Amino acid sequence: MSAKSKPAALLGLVALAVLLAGSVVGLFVVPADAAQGDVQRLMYVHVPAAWLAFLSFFVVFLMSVLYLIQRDLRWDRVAASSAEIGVVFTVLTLALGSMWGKPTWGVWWTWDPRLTTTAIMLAIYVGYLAIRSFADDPEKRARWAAIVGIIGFANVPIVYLSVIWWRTLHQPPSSPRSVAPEILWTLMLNLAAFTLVYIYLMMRRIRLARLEGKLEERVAYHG
Amino acid sequence: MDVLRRAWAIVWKDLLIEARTKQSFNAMVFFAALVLFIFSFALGPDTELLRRVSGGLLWVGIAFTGILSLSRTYQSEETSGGIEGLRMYPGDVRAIFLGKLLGNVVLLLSVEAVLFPAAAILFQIEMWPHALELAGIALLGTVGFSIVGTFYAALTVNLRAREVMLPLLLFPALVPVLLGAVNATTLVVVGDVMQDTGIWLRLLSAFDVIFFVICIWIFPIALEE
Amino acid sequence: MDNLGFIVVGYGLTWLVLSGYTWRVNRRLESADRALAEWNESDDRARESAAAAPSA
Repeated sequence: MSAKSKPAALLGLVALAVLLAGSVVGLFVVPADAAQGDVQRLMYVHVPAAWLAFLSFFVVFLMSVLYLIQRDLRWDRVAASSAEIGVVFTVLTLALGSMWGKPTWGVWWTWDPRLTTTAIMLAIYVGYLAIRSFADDPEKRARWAAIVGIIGFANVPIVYLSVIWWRTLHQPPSSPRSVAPEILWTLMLNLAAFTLVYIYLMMRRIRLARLEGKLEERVAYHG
Repeated sequence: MDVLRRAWAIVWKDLLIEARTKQSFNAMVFFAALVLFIFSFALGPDTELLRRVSGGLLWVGIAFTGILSLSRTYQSEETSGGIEGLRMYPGDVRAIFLGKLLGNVVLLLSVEAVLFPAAAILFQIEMWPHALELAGIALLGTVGFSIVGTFYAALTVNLRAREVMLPLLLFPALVPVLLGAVNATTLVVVGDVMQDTGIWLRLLSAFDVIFFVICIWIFPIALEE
Repeated sequence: MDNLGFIVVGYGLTWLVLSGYTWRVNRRLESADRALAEWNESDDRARESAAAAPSA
């Protein structure tokens, strides 16, 4: 098995192209938002990053359940890969949120329900990766991680709801604005780009997990 | 039911040990009171401010104190060489979870029984008229805290870095409990004009039920060899 | 473009982080590949020497 892979490389190039297109359109082609001005363009990277952060975590949850049922280490490798990539997207989401928030609301951080939930999700992800580092036995590692992954993800909707109640009790609900179609299309384009990047990264990261698993076996076998 | 009987045996044993030595209880009460004091000094003598944040301060104190005692949930088994023995426990391993959970709840509630009046004095709050509601909030919050805490304590019991891993895993998971307990307590203390306390109580109850089911279900996997 | 700085940092960060992580994963893949190849080589050599000199 080699590190090179034609399908992955091809997907990587496609993802790169779509991401480039998304950035060009988001920065130069689509008109700026009437109310917020050019800063609103950050939405085209912030929102897809957030979506992928949550998708990654959902994949961790699914794979964790699958692992506990079937005890096949393949699922654990997918879970661990999605967790690592998920951390990248989550940190990016939070950083981009600050980039957007400072010029828009004047503050680097707000206790907005989605941002707050994202920050807590990051803490859960970090716990997931941390507990993996404490087990040398692949099965034990997979089991502990799966447990943390399941409980962590189960908590996300509850956290989200509680933060919403915390923040919006006694506050008037924000009036939904209708979104212009160009904005929606640009968002979809970037969402597709980020998703392709995720799939490409998953392909590479899972392969890496498989190789590292083999190396682990060798070391364990030869002592 | 067999599981309940075994669970009760565990609770009884642990609480007897605790009642005799009062090891944990005294340390916990002292630590919690210390936390409240330090917060009061940090925030200054503005009594109106202290009243408004008293709910938050109380529950932060309870959370820190609870974490201290959680890491020693399985200590009596550990010192008698027994975490392996726990696994070979006859009958359903879930009885252990239930027993340890009940033990933690009782211990933490008894600390709170001292802490709430202490907070009432320190922060000049009228708690007595609302005693029943506060007791209910304390129960729901403590149960929620203990469910996830007892579970993660079992998961991290063999880790060298238990002191770091347990809080790291526990606190993100406890956000709904903290939000619910703090907000409900504050509303009761400060005055609930809009009848919002109910929402927080429902959140706490839902959390308790959901995570009790999940944790007791996968507890055997957490203790697997 | 108003608030140019934030927009540049935002998009720049996105590209930097995503390509940086991609590069890192690919690097780790290459070194894992090499490590496995070395193991395979030493296994082959061990097998050859065992075949060439059977125990008496």
